[in-house]
Amino acid sequence: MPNYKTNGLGANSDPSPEEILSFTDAADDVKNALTSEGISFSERFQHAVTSFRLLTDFRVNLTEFLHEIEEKIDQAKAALMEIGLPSDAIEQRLKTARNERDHRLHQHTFAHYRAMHEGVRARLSADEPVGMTQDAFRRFVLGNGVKIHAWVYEQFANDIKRVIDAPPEQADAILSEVRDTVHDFVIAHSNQVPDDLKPVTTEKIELFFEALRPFAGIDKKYFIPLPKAAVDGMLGVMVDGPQMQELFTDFAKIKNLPREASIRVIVAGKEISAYGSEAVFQQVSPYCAAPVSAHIVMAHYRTDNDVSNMLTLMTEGQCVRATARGNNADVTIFAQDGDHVRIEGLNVSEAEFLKHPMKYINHTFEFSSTEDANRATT
Amino acid sequence: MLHTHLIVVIKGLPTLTESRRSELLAKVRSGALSSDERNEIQDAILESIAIFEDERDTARQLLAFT
Repeated sequence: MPNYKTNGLGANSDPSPEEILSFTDAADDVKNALTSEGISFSERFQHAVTSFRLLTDFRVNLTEFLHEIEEKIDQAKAALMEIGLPSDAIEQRLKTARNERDHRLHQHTFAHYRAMHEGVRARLSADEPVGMTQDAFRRFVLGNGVKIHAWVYEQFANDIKRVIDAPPEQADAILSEVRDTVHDFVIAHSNQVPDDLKPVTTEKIELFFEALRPFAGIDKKYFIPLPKAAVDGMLGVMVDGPQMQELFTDFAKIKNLPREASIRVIVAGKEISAYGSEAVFQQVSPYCAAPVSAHIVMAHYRTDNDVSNMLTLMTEGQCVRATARGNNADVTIFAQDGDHVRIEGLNVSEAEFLKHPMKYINHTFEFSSTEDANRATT
Repeated sequence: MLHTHLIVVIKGLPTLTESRRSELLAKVRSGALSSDERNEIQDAILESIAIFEDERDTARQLLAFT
């Protein structure tokens, strides 16, 4: 993902109000900021400038990232030709690779949602606070990059809201009703489904509703800010030193950051730089919106060094669930006191594993609590 | 034969370990790549392209969303 620099447009001089208002994509945000009541004009203007910069920088960096990734794809295809794969064979085998990846992601995501559902229900019955706001759920869905989820959410926003707002005793019935509505729509109006989402299979729709189920009819008293343990679990490597690590173990501190704070962290293997507490909140929170009891963050293709650091930074009670390279057998790495870990599912010493973890596990894995990992294996 | 793209791409393959990448790079440079190794590299590159395409699609979605 891109490095969200904040020194893009307007770094050396503030944009004029005319420039701000002429930028159509930011216009609504800016207008809202400028017309907010209860704060001074200078504060409102500053807020507008900040919104403008963040949005502009985000788009600029995202566009740069798009160019980079497209170059990588072209280069990879050129490399395949250099190694003797003709272009028609490349397209054919790419189709298989895409299907395999899609299948693996589905299996993984489905298992994750199931676990999340069980975790949420368990906590509800124990009267522990869980859950997320509708907006957090939306970001969670979009953040997962599952295109069909985003599409269903956008198309059926009001129906989804009905599911989340349902009285608990009617939640399952309303969820089933909405699911049928979506199925029927897709079948009857397949021409309205975007081409890049086709085919919209029953399995894909089911996947969406598995994701939604934990939040159906949740009592509003459970809608709380993000759980602390989720933030603990989402941490990868704090590149700015131990003080930053302390900061991010308490989510409330993120929200109380000075408005001018600049943060750089690696979350889920991606570097995120953000300027200002609101930006940090916006960019980091999607990664910890899921209830702590289940999957907290998926990470992929970290380096050996990143993974070793992450494992030794985890505290007792946390673990990472992964699969072994080669045979995809389940592997669980439990954090122990100090810099030690306990590994289940691999025949390798702790020292060797910590030296080259990515030699032994696949690059996608997830954080969990020891309790949940034990529950999953029994 | 020059393998300009191949060498750059192998260096950045996310699905191989660093040591494996080094071994394969040495084989490519010396021209001693076996058939199995050739297939291994092809599979890893194809898997990487699928990952890159996912990231590209997500970025496009985000651009549209913002």
